[in-house]
Amino acid sequence: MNQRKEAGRSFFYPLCFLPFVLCSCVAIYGWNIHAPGLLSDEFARDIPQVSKRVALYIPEGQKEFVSKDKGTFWSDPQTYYVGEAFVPMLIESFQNGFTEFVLMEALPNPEIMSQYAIDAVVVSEIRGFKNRKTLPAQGLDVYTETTVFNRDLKLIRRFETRGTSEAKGTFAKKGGLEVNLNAAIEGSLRETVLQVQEALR
Amino acid sequence: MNQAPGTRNQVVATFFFLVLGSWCLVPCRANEVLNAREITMPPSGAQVMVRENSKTGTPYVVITDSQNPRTDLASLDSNKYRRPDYRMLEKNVTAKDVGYDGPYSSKKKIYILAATLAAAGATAAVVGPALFPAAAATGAAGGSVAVPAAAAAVGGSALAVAAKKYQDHFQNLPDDYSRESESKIIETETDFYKMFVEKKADKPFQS
Repeated sequence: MNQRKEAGRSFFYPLCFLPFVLCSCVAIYGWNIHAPGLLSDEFARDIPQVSKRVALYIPEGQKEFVSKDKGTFWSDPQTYYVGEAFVPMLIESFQNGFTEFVLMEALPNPEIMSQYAIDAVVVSEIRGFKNRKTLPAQGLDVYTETTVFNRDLKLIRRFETRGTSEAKGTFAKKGGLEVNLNAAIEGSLRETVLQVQEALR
Repeated sequence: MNQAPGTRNQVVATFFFLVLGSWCLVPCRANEVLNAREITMPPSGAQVMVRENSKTGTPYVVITDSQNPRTDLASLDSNKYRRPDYRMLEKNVTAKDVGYDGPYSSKKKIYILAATLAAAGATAAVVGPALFPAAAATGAAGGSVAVPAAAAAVGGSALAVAAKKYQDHFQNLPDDYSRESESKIIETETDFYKMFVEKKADKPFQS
């Protein structure tokens, strides 16, 4: 009888401490996902380059866009640094998509547009991020909203895009999560550049 | 060598004709017109510079405001990686197969977590009975077995429901991998100032 009590005690204390240990450890040891932030070779191959002088204005705060959507309640904590990869990829996609690309850091106005003979200014923002996760697979969705303005800053087109990448076994592969995020961002940018090209045609 | 006085007069006359003639040909309000053109183009305060893409090194033109420079865009992540190859998300293709050298979440931290749990558990087993002898006796009597069992049962069912949500969708992925992109035009009437200057404060950036 005494032996059973002893055995019970030895299990009881670890179990009492377990929730606290788990809570602190998952916060420290969660998954931090940083995408490479580069477009694949397919992008330059698939998207034609259009002869236009186009400016891109990126609103403040895009680089800091972070999502903690872990998919399911029981999943490990995950932090997706979406904005950190989105901004350099957005710049690169416009460099590829247009012969004359200008990054507009100053707030655009009609004087600047006519002074530098810029055909259009494009404003692109991340609107959302979704993690559809199951035990064997993961699907990531990146939502963006883009607005195209003419030289007088009047609206030409406004649209939203969704880029999706779904794969099995991403958590098991080295770099699987990161590349999956990169693919979702690229999917959204692919559609963005095509829409802008069509709007300016 | 003396020059004839008639020739000198001809040179002087030609000089005056050219100078005065050209002055007469220019419209008398030309200066005002040129100045007026400058006035219609007010100084924008913009400054043109060339910057390199932090990842690829490809240069591009930047129009910046010297009064309010954008520090967030000037300091982008500059780690250089090979371009990603999405074939590595396909079935039976690993990062090594495509030469992936980008960032990754290390599995080491999972082992660190396991070691931390084990160490904490062992410490608690030694220190715990000394601190709470009464609780030990009660807990050992029965509660210790019943609570984790109930938690496991509840957790298991919730996990099953959550997993079922997307299970059927992922079941039919070709080559274990799929990519899609789509867009939708938003019908609206607006301009730049309404969208990005007036309502600047309303924009959420955290999902």
